[in-house]
Amino acid sequence: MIGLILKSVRSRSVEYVAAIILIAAAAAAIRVQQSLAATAESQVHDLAHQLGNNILVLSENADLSSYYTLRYGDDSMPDTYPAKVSASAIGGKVKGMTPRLYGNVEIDGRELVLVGQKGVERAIPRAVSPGAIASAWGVAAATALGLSEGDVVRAGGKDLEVSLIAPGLTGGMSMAVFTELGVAQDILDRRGEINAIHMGGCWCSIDITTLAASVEKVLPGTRAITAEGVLASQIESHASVKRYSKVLSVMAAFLVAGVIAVLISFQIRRQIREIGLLLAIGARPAAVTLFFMIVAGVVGTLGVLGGFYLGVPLAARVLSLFNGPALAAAPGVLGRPLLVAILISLAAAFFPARRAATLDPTTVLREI
Amino acid sequence: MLELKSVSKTYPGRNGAPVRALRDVSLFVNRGEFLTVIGPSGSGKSTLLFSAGAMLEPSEGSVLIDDVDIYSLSPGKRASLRRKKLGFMFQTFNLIPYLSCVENVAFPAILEGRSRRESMEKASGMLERLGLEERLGHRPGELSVGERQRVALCRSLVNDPDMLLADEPTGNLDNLLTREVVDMFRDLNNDGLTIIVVTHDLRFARMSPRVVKLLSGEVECDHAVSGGMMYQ
Repeated sequence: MIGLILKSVRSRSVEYVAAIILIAAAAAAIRVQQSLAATAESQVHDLAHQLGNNILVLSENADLSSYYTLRYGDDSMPDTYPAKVSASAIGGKVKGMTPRLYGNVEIDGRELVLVGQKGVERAIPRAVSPGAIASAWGVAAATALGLSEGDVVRAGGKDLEVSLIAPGLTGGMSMAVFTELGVAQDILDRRGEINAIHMGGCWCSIDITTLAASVEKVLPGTRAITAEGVLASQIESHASVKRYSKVLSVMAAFLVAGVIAVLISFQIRRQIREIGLLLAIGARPAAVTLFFMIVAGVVGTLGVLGGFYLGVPLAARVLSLFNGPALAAAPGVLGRPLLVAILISLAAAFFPARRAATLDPTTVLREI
Repeated sequence: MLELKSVSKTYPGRNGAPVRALRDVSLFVNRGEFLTVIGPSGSGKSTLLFSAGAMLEPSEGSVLIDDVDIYSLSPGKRASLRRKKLGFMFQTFNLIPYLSCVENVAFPAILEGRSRRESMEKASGMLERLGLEERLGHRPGELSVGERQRVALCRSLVNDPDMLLADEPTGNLDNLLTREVVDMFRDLNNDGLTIIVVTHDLRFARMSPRVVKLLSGEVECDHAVSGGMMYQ
């Protein structure tokens, strides 16, 4: 029977190859859609990380509009708060914390933003001038004062060396000077105080609202500001992509079923004399059904295999030709789609195959 | 061996009026008998053959092979009976075009459950005995009409059936080939094979010991003729 199937398929290979290509195209479309969804998910994940880094804890008395216009008041919180967070139940979810003290200072007659940040000294070169303290300057701040790297200025009784002019400090922060937290506290005369904590971590898998509430509970007198709305809209957008993926999968399933049903029905019409002959010489009706079911299963399997393995590389190649986005590898393993495709193929082929098996051999042989 | 009891077969006609192909036909064919059924076109010859061959259920009456009512069997068991006990030769041969000659002949044996190797060996031997040793690997499309006829005959005999049913076996053959086929059938019958041939070729009737003539679906005459010389 297998030999007969192989020879039968080979004798009509063009039709079977066309059917396999159609099914492969449907499978490839799903894989590409899954890849796009995975790419979008990856982007949402990255965004979640970025937003996570921007979770901002301020004193509950802080004026947000002043904060965002870089006008800092005397609101504050103890600089022991980061340690308090680490020691709390939410500490495990927070991968990094950057406590800062922001203040407005006048240096050489120009008003600048001074930012004291714990650990910043590790990110900038050491001061080379004796007694000077290392600092990083925004380009606008350095330019305003006519400073170059290595220059030293006096601020609040401290000598600040321009260790680094950082083009990466953009927007308002271009007018900022970064230095060690303790130095900034001395210059601003606010020892033991900070007025902002930037929290970092992956919030994408946790309820960010609950996290913010937990932070406020652990740190009395503060408020945690999140970009939850932005993140939520991104997650909703990603959910939409996934929904489209499901719709596409259902459409592809119908396409596979249609292709198989049409292919098998067409082959039965073409091979009707052979079917009649098989029945006449004693092939069991179940064997005739099995014949077409095997053919359908093989066509469905080959189509899905082709689409599964070739779809994403081909789409990535095409996208690269047009400078499109890089595709992430589609998630999932072959087993489930393959099983679904085989089941759909068998189901689609069953009724035409069953009808073929119940044909009257004398009628189809047209001998009467 | 084979018994038709009051068999009638009615087909739905194109304009709604039923067409009665067989009317109350009763026949008994003994083991080893050679029966030729003749009659004009449309007389019900092929309907009778296919009803006798477990392929076409009569509208009325019953068909018994070795005392078993074959149309009371399930389709699967009827298929098994066709495979084991009956051999068919069709007017248009009905060889599978993408199989070679030897594969066409071996196929019923494979269906019967014999190994591919054994089936192919038997098929090759049969084809060689009929002078087709050079054509074993050829496809039907590469054969002459006479060669195809012989391949079809081999296929019908590969499972050593008890009865051979042939529908117009010489319908497409010239005189020389017809003579060959007639001789082959006579030899097979001499070896003990029961044969029923449906034909309008009177040469079969001449050599057949028993001739049934159908007319409008009814048995007009049923003659057992010693020496088969009735229709001269």
